[in-house]
Amino acid sequence: MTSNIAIAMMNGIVWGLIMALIALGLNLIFGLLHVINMAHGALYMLGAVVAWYLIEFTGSFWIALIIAPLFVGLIGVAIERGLIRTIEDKPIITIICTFGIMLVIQELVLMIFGGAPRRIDSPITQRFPIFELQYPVMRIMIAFISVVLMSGLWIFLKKTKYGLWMRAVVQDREMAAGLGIPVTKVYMWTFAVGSALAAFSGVLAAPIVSVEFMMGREVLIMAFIIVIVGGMGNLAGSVVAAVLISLIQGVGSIFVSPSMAMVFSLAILIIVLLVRPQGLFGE
Amino acid sequence: MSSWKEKPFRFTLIFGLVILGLVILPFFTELYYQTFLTELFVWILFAISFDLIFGYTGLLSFGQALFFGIGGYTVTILTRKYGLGTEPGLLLCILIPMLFAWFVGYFSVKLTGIHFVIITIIFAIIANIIGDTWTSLTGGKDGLTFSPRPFRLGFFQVNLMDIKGNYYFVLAVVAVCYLILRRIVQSPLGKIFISIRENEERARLIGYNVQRYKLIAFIIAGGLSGLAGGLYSITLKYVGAGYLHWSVSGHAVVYTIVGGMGTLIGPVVGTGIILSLEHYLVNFLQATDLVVGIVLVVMVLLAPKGIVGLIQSRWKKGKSSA
Amino acid sequence: MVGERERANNIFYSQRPSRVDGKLHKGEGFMVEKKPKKKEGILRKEISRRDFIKTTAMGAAGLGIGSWLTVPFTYGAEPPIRIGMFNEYSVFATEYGYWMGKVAKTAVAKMNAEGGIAGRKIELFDYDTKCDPKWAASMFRKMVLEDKVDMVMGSIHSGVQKACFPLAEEYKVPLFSGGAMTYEFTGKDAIPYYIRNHSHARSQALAGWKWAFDNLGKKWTFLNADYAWGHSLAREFGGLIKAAGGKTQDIFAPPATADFIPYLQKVDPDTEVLFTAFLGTAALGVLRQTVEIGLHKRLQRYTVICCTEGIGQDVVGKESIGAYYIEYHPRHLDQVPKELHPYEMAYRKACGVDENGREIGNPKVTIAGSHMYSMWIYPYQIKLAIEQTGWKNRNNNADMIRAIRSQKLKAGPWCPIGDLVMREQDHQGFSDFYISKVEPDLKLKVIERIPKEKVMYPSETDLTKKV
Repeated sequence: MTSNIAIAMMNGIVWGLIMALIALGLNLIFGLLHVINMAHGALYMLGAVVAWYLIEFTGSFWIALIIAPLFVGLIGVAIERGLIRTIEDKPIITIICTFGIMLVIQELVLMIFGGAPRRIDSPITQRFPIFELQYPVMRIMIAFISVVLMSGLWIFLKKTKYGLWMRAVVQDREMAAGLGIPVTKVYMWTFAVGSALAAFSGVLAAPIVSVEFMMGREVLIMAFIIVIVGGMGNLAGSVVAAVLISLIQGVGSIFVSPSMAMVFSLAILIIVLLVRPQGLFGE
Repeated sequence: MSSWKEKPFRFTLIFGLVILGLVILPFFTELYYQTFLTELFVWILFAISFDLIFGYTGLLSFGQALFFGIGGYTVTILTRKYGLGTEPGLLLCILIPMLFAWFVGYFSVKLTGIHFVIITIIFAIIANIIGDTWTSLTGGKDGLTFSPRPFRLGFFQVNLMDIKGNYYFVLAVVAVCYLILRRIVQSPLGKIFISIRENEERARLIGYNVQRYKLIAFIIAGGLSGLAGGLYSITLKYVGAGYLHWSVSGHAVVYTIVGGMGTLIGPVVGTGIILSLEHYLVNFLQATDLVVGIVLVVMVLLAPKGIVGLIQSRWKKGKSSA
Repeated sequence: MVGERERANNIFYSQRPSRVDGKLHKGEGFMVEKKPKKKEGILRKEISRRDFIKTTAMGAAGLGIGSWLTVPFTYGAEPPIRIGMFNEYSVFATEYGYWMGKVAKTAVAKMNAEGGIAGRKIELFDYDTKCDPKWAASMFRKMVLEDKVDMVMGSIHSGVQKACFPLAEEYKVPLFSGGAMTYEFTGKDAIPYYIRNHSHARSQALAGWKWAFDNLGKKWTFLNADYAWGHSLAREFGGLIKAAGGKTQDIFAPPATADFIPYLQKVDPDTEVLFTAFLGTAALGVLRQTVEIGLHKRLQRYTVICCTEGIGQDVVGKESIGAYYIEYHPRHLDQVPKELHPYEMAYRKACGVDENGREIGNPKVTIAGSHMYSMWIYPYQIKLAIEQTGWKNRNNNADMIRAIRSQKLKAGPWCPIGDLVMREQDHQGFSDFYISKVEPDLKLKVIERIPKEKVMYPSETDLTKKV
């Protein structure tokens, strides 16, 4: 039993870190632009799909890991400039608009990539023995890369000029504009970074999960739950919430059936929403 | 808001003509159009119930599928297991979803904005999971089939297993519901809903118990969504866990936005356009969702008040120059 | 005036500045620097709204006229026989839909080239079920009432088919199942207007359990998707195993599970056979992760081919080497029994498939070989029945059903899978099964052929009394 729980915990942390990346992107976009991006799951999927094509051409997972998020980031810029800019101050409308964008992206991928799932090979195939199982090193690597990315984001936000601008705009938009910060550029970059984070997640998850045009749907709801529980606008809260929820689900599924575990965690979420709508760590 | 209101005679005339047209339609067209229109009516009812809570009260609920599904399951299970007649079945598929709406709404209206959206989605997801897994009751994803009993009102009887009978039955129910909803939104109650949408803070300051009115709107919408679900299961003779999926709520959102939210006629128009478009497009291509997604994005960006809103604003511009 | 200010606060009007007292009022979230841009934007938008309406109106008119023009004209020829078809072309299981549709179209084209049915051409109508029973029921109605089809075939989604049962009965239009695996559809839920010539959970279990019980192990764990299909496979196989004195364990995971390690951990340490049943990416995941954590070293992996239909074994990965599959028709040509080769080769050639089950010209696409044959055979069954009974139109559908359900087809160009026996009482068809193992070169090699006689369980219903 202890071995089961230990492995479940390791797993929970790995998945939590992958989900944290997605949730961070979503949170960033909401915190700054007040846009509720229903298309976020589709961007995650797009990251994995683009990575698949890149690996087909270059054969290297690492190249795909760098380039796919850049490409999806560009798409994010296009979405922000072309479609969302006019409705950025109306959260309800953005939900509907991004919902439409999600449909379009999914259908286009279905038409071009096809409906059959495809796999991406793990670049690392070693395993190390833990208890009586062999745990794949790739998962540890994924967790590591996730942490590196999150640290990079942290440094970016805290130490660079753009990061400062972003934080200023979150705090007080009009004041920031008054101080001469190019708010529209900041919006653009934020959406780009948020999309890129989702894509990173997709590429990292792809060797485990395989690539399929519908893979964003399940992830989207989870991402929203994590953002709400962690507190909208609170980036650190998202990371903690992601790992926490993942751990609870992972360890919980040892004891109860997965559907019941899901219902249970959703019920708890409702209680969290009612008692502390600003999230566990929100202000 | 709408110029219809000022001219009740004009509304009655147009409504009467439309209903008359729909009543004599089966004598001139083929069966297919009757079944298509029957489905259309059901979705129209679903869309206008959504409009009550979104367009008029300003609450975006992605969880209406929950009530739609409960309505469908109520009629199906009661008729299948207990041989219930259609009249009590119809009543219950309004009342039972209303009870659920009371429960869900009680908690949900405490929240606003995105939190409201999320909590309604979560309730719907929970219901979907239960619907999928409690197969002994719900038949799971495969669902349940049944034969609805004829509908009796005094001496008058409608055979629901017959396409024409089904058509008239659904048309009558939906028309009545439309009139009832119209009455509601034009009444003082409706004005309170609108005031909540416009400025919740101000409504509270004036002295209205905003949460209570939100809950009332939610319950009414839940009951009507449930009725739509019940009618749909009677029409299809089938109900399944798919009724409870949040994408069903998504349909209502699309129809209402495209048609024009906050006007009862908007969702009617929107449902008609999108459903006809989908049914027409399947003759040529399979990616109808792509077209629907594009239409949705275009409408939201260019015409957020929907088609009805477009027509209304041109009407107003033509009349006066403010 | 108050109304103007109110509109300024309204969520829709906040992007449009309103003029009150001649001064410009901003809505919420209105940016100082954005003002000039928005004003131009509004003018631009107003113009484009007008254009928008104009273009859509013209487009709608164009579509309407266009559809009217494409109504075909026929002069006194015998009306074509109309077959409706729907498959899963989007949302999920699309690799099945692709092949079911392709094989059906090829079969109909070939039959038309050979003279049609009773001298009449076959017209095939094709729609997407979207994996949505409600939408599929709509499409069924459309096919029957608008396209005026005489019968409907296709789909592997059991919810879709269940939703169409009432319609099939109401309109007296037979539904030929493309590939739904719910046993009860020809068991306790059977209806007279439903016909199935392929396998389902119970026949698969009856075919596959004994050999595995004798050769792989007596202690089984079922790690299946947590919905009807997964449950029925666990129930059918499990019942047979337990009755023979074996031991079973059930673990269910959500159908879209990405991470199987928590479930794989629960597998009993003394389990000898791990039976998995998932579709799509989850199927890839479970096989791969079983190997990733080293479980494959102490147990055998067993599953039904449904889990990798339409997915190349190279996509499933080297991890699947050594796993066993129950196939309903071999994927590789050289694994097909020798006596069927001439028919199989012609069938593959017509459908554009090579000897390894890859699409010719598109080697990344793999066939759903154990499912798609149903669509090849149905047109032939329909042809035989129509020509035999003198069927003229839909009103004779009951005769056609009576003929089809007692057909005993011999192997031939229209029945490349070998003999197919239809059973009258439950409208169920039976053919041979195969147990295959994944070789190191990722080929599915047949190691055992299970004759259909071993699979013919007693019928649970008698539809001959109903029609």
